[in-house]
Amino acid sequence: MKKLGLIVMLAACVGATGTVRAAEMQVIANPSVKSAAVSVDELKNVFLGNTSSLADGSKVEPVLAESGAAHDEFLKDVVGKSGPALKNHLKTLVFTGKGSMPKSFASEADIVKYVAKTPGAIGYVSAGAAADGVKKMALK
Amino acid sequence: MRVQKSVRTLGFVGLAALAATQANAQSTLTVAGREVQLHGFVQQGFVFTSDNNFLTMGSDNGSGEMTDGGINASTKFNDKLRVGAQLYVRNLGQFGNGRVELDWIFADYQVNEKVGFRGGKVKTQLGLINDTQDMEFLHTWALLPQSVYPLDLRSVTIAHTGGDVYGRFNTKKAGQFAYNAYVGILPDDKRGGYRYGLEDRGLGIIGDIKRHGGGGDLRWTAPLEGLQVGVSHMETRGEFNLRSQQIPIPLNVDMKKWNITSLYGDYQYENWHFSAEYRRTLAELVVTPSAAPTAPIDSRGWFASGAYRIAKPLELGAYYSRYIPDTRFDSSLDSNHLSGPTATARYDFARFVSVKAEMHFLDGTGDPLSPRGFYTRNNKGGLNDSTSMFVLRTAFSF
Repeated sequence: MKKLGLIVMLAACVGATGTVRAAEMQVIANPSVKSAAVSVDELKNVFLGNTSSLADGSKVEPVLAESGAAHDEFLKDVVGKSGPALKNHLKTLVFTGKGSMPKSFASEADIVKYVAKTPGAIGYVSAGAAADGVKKMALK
Repeated sequence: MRVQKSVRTLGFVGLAALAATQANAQSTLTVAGREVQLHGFVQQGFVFTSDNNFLTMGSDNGSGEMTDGGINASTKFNDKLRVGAQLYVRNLGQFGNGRVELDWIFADYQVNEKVGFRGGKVKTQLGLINDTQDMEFLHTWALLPQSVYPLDLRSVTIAHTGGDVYGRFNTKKAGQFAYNAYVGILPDDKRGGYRYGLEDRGLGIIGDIKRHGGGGDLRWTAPLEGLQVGVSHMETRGEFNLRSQQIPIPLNVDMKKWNITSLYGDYQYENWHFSAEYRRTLAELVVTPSAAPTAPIDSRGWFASGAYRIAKPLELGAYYSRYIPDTRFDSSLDSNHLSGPTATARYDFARFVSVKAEMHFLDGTGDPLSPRGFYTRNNKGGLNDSTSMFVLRTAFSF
């Protein structure tokens, strides 16, 4: 019985951790983006400069945060690279001419503002951030 | 004179930095309603060697003749078409001489993720990091492993003027495959190590080195997060004319083959970063008039590296590098190998500035015909069989 209790507690902790992680970051996009959901692989390819469109054909422009909890979670769970490694990857594209540097903003308000006014823009903010004028996208 | 060249090099890059400060924080300008991205970098190194002078610098007394930089501009015409160009300048001992050159300039038309085309002067994808071998700020090291990425021979592989086709395929379970194939003309660097090395042997190139060829790269991003492995191959041929102090008539060198094959792997896991690369170069040169046919020169180089970021700004790393100029001969000869370990500390100040301190413990000298930094002309007392080297290098990039 004691063992069962421990398992239930552990499961609850794991569940709670998962909930916290998922709650930290929210993918947002300009309303011109057709899809309501995006997969981690699609998002990763967009932010690594491998593609500029989603599976539904929507043209997208990635927008990065410069720091913060949502940024850290995005790096770990979506991009799979550390901050310096992502920066180096993007600079490699820029200095070999094989890609452009995505826009980046220090504040979530600026990210939301830019995504709201720019057709195709796609970014991420904290789940609790005000997201007026943008579309919240589910992560598949 | 050398100081002037360094100042000129720094001046060029200073202007680039000034241009960037005139742009906004995102390094963008608006030209005729179109957004143009501007980026640049400058790197300054200091080298101190225990014995042999390195890379034509007076490094046994300490030398700061190690300056380079570049600036680029690019813009998108639409979702598929992008154009850009980069200027590059370097003053590395007696190489480069502060002369500004067009590093790359091309139009890139990406039809979709699976296929795209580039035309113009394009940086060549060969091995793990050939196309960024001159941008150390993108890497942990102050000097990349010279067995595979020699600073003297930068121009031999750095770019081609021609066309590329590229793309990538995603599989559901087997990861991602990225390919790149190209044909073109290869540049002739009149201020580089190949000519300098020949002159070390009493040979001088008359006119230009004409070289053309093609190649490809296939890299697999594995389903295991952070793992990438790949293979590259380049085939070139060409010709040039030589004058020799011993022979009164010019010699013609037919480069029947100058092929490079590279196998490489890279693994990044959290704060760890491991890389390895093996490169084989086969060169078949037929000299006319000649007493006898020559067998292909078979060079091998490889390195293995590991680095760990112990804090956000601080990364520590080490690599081992080995180069054999010609496997036809005894590789225990000092002139037929260059190998040794390297240890590095890199510190990143804010977003734009990095500083690296690095120790090299080199055994052997390599060969001037396939140089890796050591030339008899700069070491008049003769080359010692081992060299300890300290390199301090800083970079600013935006």
